[in-house]
Amino acid sequence: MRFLLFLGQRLALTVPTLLILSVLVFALQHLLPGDPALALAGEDMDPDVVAEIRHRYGFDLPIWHQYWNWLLAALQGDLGMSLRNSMSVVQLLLGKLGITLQLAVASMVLALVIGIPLGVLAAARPGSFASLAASGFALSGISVPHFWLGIMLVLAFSVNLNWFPSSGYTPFAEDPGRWAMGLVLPAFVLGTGIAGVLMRHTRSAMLQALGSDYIRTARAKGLREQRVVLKHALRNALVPVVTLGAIEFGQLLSGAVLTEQIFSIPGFGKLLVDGVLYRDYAVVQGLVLVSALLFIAASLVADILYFVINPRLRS
Amino acid sequence: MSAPLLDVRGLAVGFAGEDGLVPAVQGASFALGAGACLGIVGESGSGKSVAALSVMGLLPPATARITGGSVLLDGRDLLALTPEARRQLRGGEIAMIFQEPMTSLNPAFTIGDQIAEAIRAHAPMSAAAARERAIALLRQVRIASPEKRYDEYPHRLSGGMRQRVMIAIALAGNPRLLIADEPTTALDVTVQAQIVALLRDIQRERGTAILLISHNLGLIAGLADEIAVMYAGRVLEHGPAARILAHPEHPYTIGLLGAVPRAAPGEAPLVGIEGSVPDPRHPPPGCVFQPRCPFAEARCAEAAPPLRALAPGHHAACHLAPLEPVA
Repeated sequence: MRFLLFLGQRLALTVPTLLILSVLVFALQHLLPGDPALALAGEDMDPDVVAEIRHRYGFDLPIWHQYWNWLLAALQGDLGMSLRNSMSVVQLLLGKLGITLQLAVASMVLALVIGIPLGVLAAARPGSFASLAASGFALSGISVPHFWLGIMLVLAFSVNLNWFPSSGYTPFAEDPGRWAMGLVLPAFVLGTGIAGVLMRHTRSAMLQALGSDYIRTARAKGLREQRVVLKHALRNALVPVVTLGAIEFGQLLSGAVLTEQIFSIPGFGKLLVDGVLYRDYAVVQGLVLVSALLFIAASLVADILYFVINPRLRS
Repeated sequence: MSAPLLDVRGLAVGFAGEDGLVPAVQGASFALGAGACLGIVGESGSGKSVAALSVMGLLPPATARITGGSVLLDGRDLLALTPEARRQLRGGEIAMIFQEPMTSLNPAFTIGDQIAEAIRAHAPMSAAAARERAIALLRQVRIASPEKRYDEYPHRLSGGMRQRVMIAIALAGNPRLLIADEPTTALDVTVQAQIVALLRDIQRERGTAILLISHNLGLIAGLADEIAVMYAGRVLEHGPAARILAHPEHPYTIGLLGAVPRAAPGEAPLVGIEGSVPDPRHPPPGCVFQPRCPFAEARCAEAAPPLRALAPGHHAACHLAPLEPVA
């Protein structure tokens, strides 16, 4: 019951966010320099054609009316047509969503599997070699640029060692082995950066938890140190880390522009770059809208997880 | 007292400071018989909690160093044991409750889980059996409808209830020694009395020896058979509780007694002790209490007085003891 109330409040909060977002996305088309009708008309600048386009797309209507029409269409799942390959934007996005999702999940799994254990280790053994190594890893994960790491990994593991494909995406149905191998390097590039962030937050949350009175109680019970750290401290330290992880995942879902470009992965990032290059406004608008929606969804999941993991909120 | 359960001899503990080890406990000795209650009284900074944590083996390993002395439990020196052996004693033969019931329970787990975990740490048994025992413990510490409370989280409980849960956790391993470090300081006065009554019943019914640590001589007076008075890391006076409360010999103990509030009208006004506990890095010459002592003489600043027997079992470290009774 309390959970439903909480969920209802959070959902209600997303409505104004979405409305503001829709205005921004709609304004994108009008903030860009030039007349969209002229841009659509392309080479053929016949004033009659331009006027015809202006009328057909409703550019001659008052701006609020245009927004209303656009919003109604968007609510019905119509984000317009791509100018470049005359597909509906929604269809185009749905085709790429799966790829971006796979990369995001692979990167996030890697980030969690590396970041959280390293953070726990660094906090549980302060000053040890393992702790220093973990901190060094986190620092390089955060500070090394993705494009550089990506190119170096391709050089080392694809060009020289030939262990992984250097670029491209193979659908799972086509060749599961190639599909998996193709995701390793880009997921590593994206995952290590997030692992660094997660490691640092895990470490500081763990250090705080390990200094708490309830840890002294756990030790006074005669529990093994492993149980003190992994049950009593970690459970409390994970509360802020889980929220952070969900937000990071939401960011991954909006597409990794550079990483997808380097590895020629046809996800959201590549679609965005192409959309901007070819002035495919409807695609860019759709991408921004969908990415933002996914991010809001991830934040919502973060809030729900925070609620579930934190008993103080439940009663 | 023959063959005490706990015998702490010449305990010395220091903490790593910026310029070397800062002494917190300096040659403190006290003993506690099986089933008895020893009260250690002192101001904050007197080293009483550090002494308790040394017995428990819970000093922060990064900063604290035990530099001397021994902690004997049934004649066995705990300081010579391996960390693993000490862990097994904790929560088993020796248990401890703390000052802060509000933060001493893990907010992420139910109280039942936290009690059952303490039970299973020392007596492997099924989860269902541990639940039964945990509910029985909750009943023993007089928590109403324990079956329902078992599944509640600490934030739903009042401070007094949480301290009862802490006591239930401490009793989980059937300890022979229960260390209670300021167990009522954070609680309301009415709740304080209930917790004291509970501790007294535990001592009587289970034969658990209690090491009670408090700055509150009134609390100690209500529970302890023996009293040790600590100041600046040293034991200045110890002896039977009734004797010390009636005939305190050390000026510091006399000062502490003067600072205990009484409710009866027409009693002597509250008297504080002037000054504050000395900086452990720069102790005063001679007797540590001499700068604050109203009776101090020249010799007090020259040599530290040793603990001397003044009556059977009653010792005080004062050049002037026994003091003449003041009319």
